[in-house]
Amino acid sequence: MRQLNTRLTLGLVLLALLAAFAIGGSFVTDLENAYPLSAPIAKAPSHAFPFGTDTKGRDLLPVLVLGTLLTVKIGLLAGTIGILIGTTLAFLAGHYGGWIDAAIRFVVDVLLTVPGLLALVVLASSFPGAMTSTTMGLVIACLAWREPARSIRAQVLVVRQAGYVQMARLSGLGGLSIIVREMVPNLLPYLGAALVAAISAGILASVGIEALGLGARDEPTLGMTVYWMMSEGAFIRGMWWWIMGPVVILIVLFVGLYLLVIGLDEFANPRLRRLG
Amino acid sequence: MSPVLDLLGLGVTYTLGRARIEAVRNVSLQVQAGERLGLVGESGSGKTTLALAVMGLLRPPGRVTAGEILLDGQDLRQLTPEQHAALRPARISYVPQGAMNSLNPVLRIRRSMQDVIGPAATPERIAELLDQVGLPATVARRYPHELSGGMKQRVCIALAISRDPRLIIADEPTSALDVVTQRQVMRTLQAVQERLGSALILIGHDMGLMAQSVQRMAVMRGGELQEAGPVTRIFTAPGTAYTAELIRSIPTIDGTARRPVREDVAGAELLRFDDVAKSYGGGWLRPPAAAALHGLSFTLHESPPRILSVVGQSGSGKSTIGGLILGFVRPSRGAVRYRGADIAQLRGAARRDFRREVQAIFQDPYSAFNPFYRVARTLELPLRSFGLASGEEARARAAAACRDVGLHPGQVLDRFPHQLSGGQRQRLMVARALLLRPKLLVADEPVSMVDASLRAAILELLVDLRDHHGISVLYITHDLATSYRVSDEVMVLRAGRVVEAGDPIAVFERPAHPYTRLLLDCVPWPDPARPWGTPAREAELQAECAAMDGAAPILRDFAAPAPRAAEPVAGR
Repeated sequence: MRQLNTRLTLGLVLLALLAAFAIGGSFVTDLENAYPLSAPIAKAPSHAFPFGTDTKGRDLLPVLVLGTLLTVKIGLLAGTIGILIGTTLAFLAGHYGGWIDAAIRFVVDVLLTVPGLLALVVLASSFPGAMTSTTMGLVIACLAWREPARSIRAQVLVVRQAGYVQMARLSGLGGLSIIVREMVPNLLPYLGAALVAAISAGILASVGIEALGLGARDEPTLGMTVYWMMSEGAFIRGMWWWIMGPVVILIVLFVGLYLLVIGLDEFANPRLRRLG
Repeated sequence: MSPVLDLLGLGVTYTLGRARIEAVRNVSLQVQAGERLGLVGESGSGKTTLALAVMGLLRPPGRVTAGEILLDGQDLRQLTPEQHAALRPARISYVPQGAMNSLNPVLRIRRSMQDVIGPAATPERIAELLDQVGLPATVARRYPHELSGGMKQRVCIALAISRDPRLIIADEPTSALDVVTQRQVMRTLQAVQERLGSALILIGHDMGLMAQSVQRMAVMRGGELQEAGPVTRIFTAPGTAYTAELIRSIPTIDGTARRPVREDVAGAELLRFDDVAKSYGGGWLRPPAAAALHGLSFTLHESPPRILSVVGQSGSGKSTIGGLILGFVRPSRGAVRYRGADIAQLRGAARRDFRREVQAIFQDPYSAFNPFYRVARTLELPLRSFGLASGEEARARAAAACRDVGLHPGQVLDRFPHQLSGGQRQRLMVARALLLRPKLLVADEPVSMVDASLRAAILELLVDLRDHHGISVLYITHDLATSYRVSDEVMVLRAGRVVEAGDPIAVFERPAHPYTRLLLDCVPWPDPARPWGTPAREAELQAECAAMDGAAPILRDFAAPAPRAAEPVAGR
């Protein structure tokens, strides 16, 4: 239990630091300055602009603060919707079995062969102009349920065999009650880990699509900041401050989420739980 | 001759916060080369802790706090954990409980053996080891799931003896096996131990198995050694009241069973199997189906309530019968009828009545409780869900049911399942069944995972359900002696077919079918003087069984309508 707590703790510390930056920052700076023409152009970090400014005249401190919030929002939206749909399908398939299971498994297996980024690029590019961070979250949610559906179904198959599930059937509980009251509580740590993993995957997908320029052009998400930085030639101009910001935040975000998933996964592992 | 293992005043303590639990106190024991020592005690008596201390496998917070552990004169307490680990399995080896489930499922047996044996694991050596435990060399190419429980257990024994250890510690090596396989595996273990001349410590709580397999016995209770001595002396003149009680609590087939309930059938038909068959798997493009049950027919009437037991080896189809009655398993052919209605067709109110009236107790009291909820919920849930009681009344009835099974409600109802012992949980399962006043209770190996003293108490409760609550019980077991003692009717099942059925006294005291004789022959009697059968006799009985394959069951003095394979009851 000790080692897994260190991973869990380290992950939580990293995410807490990031949250402090984003939430604290939103009180300290004026987020209106995250949009073009609110600051002098292409200035290195200084007392007035501690993170510098970009070539369109955005102040990069509010850009990073707002970008972190928007990117996490996309991840939460996609991850939560993905888990809700995925879990529902997983319980339907795992608990009822038979042709329901066969149908759901077929659809999930087929869709899992579709390369995620390609499909999302097609979906995202069919939203010309109207793309916002919310629609981006919904687009990513369209595919985010596949992995949870598959992995949670496997867990349901295990839990379904448990003596207490059979006892619940003998106690006259119906299928839905058994799922909600008997199975879900025992799968909570696993569902938690799956949720964090889905959020993490959602953020990764959003950054990938946005770095290609297919995101919300009017919103300074982290992925769009990466896109602007690349398309405006930040590397050639040696504007290191423009590059460093989003890259460091993304690293902290992904490492923190990764450690959290690992920590929760071990916590959800019944073999470790039994020791506890 | 100096002993292989010499324990002098051994003490093991678990330190949990400020609490110190002395799991083993001042135990002194010797085991000589070539000797088999039985270490007996109930769960929590410290026998496994003692073995782990010798193995150097105690986990913190457990620690050896007193005494000496001498292996061939060398004090193991002086060794570093690394040095101690180097002794395994070269000088001490361990066959843990449920060892057969410790084989890695994705590795072939050969790979598992190479991992343990190391570079010495040539194909010839592996074949030789497998041969020593009576397995063909081809087993090395198999995966664990392709082997039976007995074969896997033998592979584990082969692993344990691979480095010719001086001392083998086997912790309940046969607890998950049926009697026939148990005897085969114990014979294998004895044969390799005798050939190596090593010492064997057999840990267990089955006094019958001890009487048949060891030369000396040590009885432990609450961490202390009660007594140790030659097995014949222990059984003829036990030195302590506790040992005497352990020996007395073993159910035997000795002509003293209570008379079965055999009044004439009066009530309506409760349960009927109409030529029920079940096979698993099969279908288009799949391997052929495996038949678990071939056309079984029998009837159970509501009154008088009876205990019908189903006995047989693992894989004989016993548990399939339980699943069919509960509606968890659908028959491939025929119908299971409850009060005349096919249970697969039951809907609505009829289905709820069926659910309430047919209850079950399963083998594993650990998994039967949802770890997320307090124990009270498990008892109150069915009351609420069937609309029998709610709120305060449900609580009061749950408390009353606890008292009925000898538990103090205040001490158990507000606990979480993991805070209770296995015995307490199994009693609660009986209490739960009692609460619903079912008509039929399926008890699937309800005592195979509890201690001997509790076994008697729980079986007593089953009899009490029949006598005072009018509940019929289908008792599924591989333990012939308990079946003999509690049941009113018995069905002996072999490979999905009933081979002999009827009055348990007739069936068990004067078995007519070779398979029943084989099962009885394999029961380890708690009497060291009585022989435990011979392989030749076993082969002879197996051959007789094979010759009678597919024959009609032998019916023994059966008062009620008897089971007949592949023939509807109505036709008789």
